Amino acid sequence: MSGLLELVQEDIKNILPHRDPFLFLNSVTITNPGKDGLCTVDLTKIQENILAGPSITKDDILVELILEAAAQLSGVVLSTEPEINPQDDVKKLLLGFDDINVTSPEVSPELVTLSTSVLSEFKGMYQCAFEALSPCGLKITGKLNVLNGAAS
Amino acid sequence: MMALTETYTIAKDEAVFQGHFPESPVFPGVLLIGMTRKVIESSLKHPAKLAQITRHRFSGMVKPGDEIKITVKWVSDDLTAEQSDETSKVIASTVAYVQDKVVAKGKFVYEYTAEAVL
Repeated sequence: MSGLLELVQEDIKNILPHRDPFLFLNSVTITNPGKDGLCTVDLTKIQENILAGPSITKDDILVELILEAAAQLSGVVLSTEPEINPQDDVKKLLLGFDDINVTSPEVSPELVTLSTSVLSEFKGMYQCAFEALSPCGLKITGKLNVLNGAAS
Repeated sequence: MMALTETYTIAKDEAVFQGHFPESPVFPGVLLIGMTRKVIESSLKHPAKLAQITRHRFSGMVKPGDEIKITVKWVSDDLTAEQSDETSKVIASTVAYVQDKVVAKGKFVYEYTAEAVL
């Protein structure tokens, strides 16, 4: 099964437990349900004092905020797998990252285009490849590992 | 090579907990990566750019009020950096603990240009 599916933030809130100020997706386009999706993330809209205690500014962690957006996008894409019932209480857990390459670490807050594709699945553990691109030439690619559904 | 250790206490009222997650607050793993990067970058002898995170794993949850201990060990440092004509790479291996339990492990690669070292 394939086809475009547009999700708005209310749909995303039905899938992810994330909320403001840590929900970075406004809308998502599913290009192949359960497999591929894309979105844009406006880094300027993310709250400045998202982490106050350890004296880390938003600018210090823009790479990490993009990684989080990629994880959220992957979570949404995985939830559109045709065999998953949207009403099911499916647990999602970010397990880690592999092979993250940052070609322009001097990231500035701006619009970032994100895409993700599911690479593999084993007993509810999924590996997704992602790519983040911005007009300033930033490129972050990598893989993330997510537990989706098999948590106990 | 010397290991570097820093500790942080995660305030219970961090804004991030309002959204991650309202029902059950958990410190976001990516922010743990950001804090780890800050420890690494504070110990770099020359300005360097993050080039890769070759592997990062989360193995435990960090809750509001937890004290996080982050250790950084240089796998290759300024003296043993992988050299090429244009850049040198330094590699840091990191572990984050909460109450002596490992909650994350990672490996970070930084690059600096030859000019930065001169």
